[in-house]
Amino acid sequence: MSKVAQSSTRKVKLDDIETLEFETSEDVQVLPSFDRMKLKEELLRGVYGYGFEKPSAIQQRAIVPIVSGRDVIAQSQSGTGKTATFSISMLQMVDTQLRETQALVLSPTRELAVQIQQVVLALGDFMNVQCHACIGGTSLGDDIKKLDYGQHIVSGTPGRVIDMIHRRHLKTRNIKLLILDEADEMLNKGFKEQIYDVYRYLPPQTQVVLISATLPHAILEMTTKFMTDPIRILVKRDELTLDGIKQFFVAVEREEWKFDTLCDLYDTLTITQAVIFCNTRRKVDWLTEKMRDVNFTVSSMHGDMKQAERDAIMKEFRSGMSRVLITTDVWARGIDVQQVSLVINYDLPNNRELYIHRIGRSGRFGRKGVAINFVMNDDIRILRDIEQYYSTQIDEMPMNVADLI
Amino acid sequence: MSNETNRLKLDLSSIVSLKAELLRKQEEFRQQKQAIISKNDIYETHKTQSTWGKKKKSDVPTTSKEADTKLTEDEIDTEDTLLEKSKKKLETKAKYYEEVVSGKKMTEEGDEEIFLVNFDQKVAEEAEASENSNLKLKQEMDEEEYNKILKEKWEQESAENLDKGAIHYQDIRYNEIRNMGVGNYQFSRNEELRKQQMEFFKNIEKESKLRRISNEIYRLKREKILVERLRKVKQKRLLKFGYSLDEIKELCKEFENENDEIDKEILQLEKSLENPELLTETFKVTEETVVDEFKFDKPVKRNVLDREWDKPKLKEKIWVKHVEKLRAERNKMFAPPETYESNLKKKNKNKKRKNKTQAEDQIKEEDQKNEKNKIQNESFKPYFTFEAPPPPTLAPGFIFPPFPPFPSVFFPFPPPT
Repeated sequence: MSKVAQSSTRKVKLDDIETLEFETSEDVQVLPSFDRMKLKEELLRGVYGYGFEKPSAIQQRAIVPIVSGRDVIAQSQSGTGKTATFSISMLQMVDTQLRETQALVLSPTRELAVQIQQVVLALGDFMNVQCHACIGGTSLGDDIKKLDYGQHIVSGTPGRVIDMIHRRHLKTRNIKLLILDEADEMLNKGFKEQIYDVYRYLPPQTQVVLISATLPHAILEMTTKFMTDPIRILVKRDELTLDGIKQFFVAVEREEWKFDTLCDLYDTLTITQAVIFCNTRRKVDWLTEKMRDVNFTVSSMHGDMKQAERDAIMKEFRSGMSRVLITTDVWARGIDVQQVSLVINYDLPNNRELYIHRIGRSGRFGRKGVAINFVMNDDIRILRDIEQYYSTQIDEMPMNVADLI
Repeated sequence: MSNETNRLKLDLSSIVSLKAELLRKQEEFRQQKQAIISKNDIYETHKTQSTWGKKKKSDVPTTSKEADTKLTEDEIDTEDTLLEKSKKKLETKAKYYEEVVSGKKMTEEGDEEIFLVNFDQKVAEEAEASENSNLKLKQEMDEEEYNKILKEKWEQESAENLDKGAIHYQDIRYNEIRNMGVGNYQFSRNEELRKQQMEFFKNIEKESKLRRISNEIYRLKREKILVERLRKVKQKRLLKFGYSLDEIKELCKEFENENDEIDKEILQLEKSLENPELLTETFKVTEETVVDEFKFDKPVKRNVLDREWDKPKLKEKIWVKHVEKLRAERNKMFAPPETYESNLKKKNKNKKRKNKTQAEDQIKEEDQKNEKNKIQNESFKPYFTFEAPPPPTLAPGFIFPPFPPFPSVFFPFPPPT
């Protein structure tokens, strides 16, 4: 009897969790202009100088609650200004007279942490704000020197940040805001413990902001552990893909044919800039070598490379020096290069979220983009699943694909 | 014969017109030919430099397409002399031009009329063209070489950044392609220069604000004049209708009120003109009509133990445990005398009682609830029973923030699952 009862209660509980729905909070206010957000004048100048004229949907909704001190969970489509959302909020909250770390941003990759530092410094240019990228693979001594100089904002990757807290060069006493960029990734198995490690050293009740284009249910469930009554700004998954990014597939019978297809597409790739995703570092190396063998100019990047090399490749790609980048999922999230208009999934990504992030490297902030998936016969099922899950459309690649870029 | 003379006579009259016609044709042909030759000349000048060299007479017909048309030697001669003349002219012009370009000679005002060429313009055009070709060269310059230069520049910049104190956007942009807004300004990487530029901006801003206010004052004053005029018109009209003066005064009161209000506004603006510190506030009020009441303006209240992840922070006093552990490892020889220990214990207890806060009560309750955890944590027994003093940065009653231990220290509580 008792056994039956137990099992039934458990079932009910499970059902409860599954049916528990997270929706955008009701009291979210929409402010259609930066002027009305009561931002500091220096910050406002930086915002306009950076090229923002009107706040994007997420900026209209999320900046004010963050600045007011609320915990916020913010979701919006790729390339719609999430980084600027929390950067503007941080800059508004930081007291530049106090030369101590007041806000901490954690992101899953070093490149992303550096990019956030760039955005913060660009937006806060007139404020004379100090922001440091505290990332692994760099000299500890330099890191310590910069932190000891005094940084208002630290943007980093969890490992090095913990290290710097332990070494007491990153002082947590004045941190009032913790931001987890790409929050779903940061709270995934690989990172969660590290995030917890950092969180332990923050003052209790620190304001927490989660931001990502994808926020699966499981992640939203665990937010109660470190957030208090958060404001939620969420996007339904059938609205998560951008209309500006056209998605196609090329069906190939054999893996080897992917390479031929890629070579055929090379002219299209170099119209602006393109990113090609493979699932493993070895495959990136292999494809790069093969492309170079037939005299195509490509650059490549993955996590096995030294940080200095990764840095150099990023600079080359950002400056337009290189046009085609072959890479792994280290590049899938958050990286913003305006000129990228084409993404190729040489391999299909391992999960649905990554698909959204990968194709989101193109079509930045209202620009047009094209994503092309190379699929072998079996893969097409996976692609159809993705298509259905996000209620989007993935057609066979037309001949005139170059016209769409 | 008579016929002949007759014919001759007839011819004589027409011969003049024939001659005239011939001359006209000859002249026409000569001109045509000249045009063709000079055209060929242009080709030649572009192809080879020897155009100015002498040409054999026989060359002329072969270079021209009219070689098969029969020309008398005389005609060719006159054409040649003409050509020679124009060539000489061109040569002098060319020489002059070269001298101007090379900077040996300055152009004079009369030159234009003499040579029919605006040399200054020519020189400018030439310079521009060469600049363009330079640019092209740069673009076509070995891409690798150009990239190499860029890379060196980046390396140098990042090396400089290490020694710099404050880092700004310009220090870490590294030639990134990005569309910025119109208000974007690339500050100097030199800290001194940057400060100057910043100062400059502040001054501009201040000035434009002052100007905006004085414009506003001007506008208000004009409005006042307008109101005054309206009042007079109304007065006149009322007088016409035969109202008494008192009645008129009563009816025109609204104008006076309006005027008073404008006066007040002007006074306020003038005040802010004198005191620039008031500028930002006063102007914002006038510009932004109604600022929305923010829904999130209220301060956020959070309970101390709201978050699961925060609980260990209060419960597990990391720093205290750490000190206890160190003391446990300490050789007793180096410990303070026991009398000191017991005295301190009493003192601490007294102090603690005074500083007791709600948070600590909560913590204690929590502690009692989770006795299991406690037992686990007691696995290492501290040598001393008294509690270590809190670290200096503590807020009263709180262990906050947990003072970071050395990196090698093991933390007693498990990470979340």
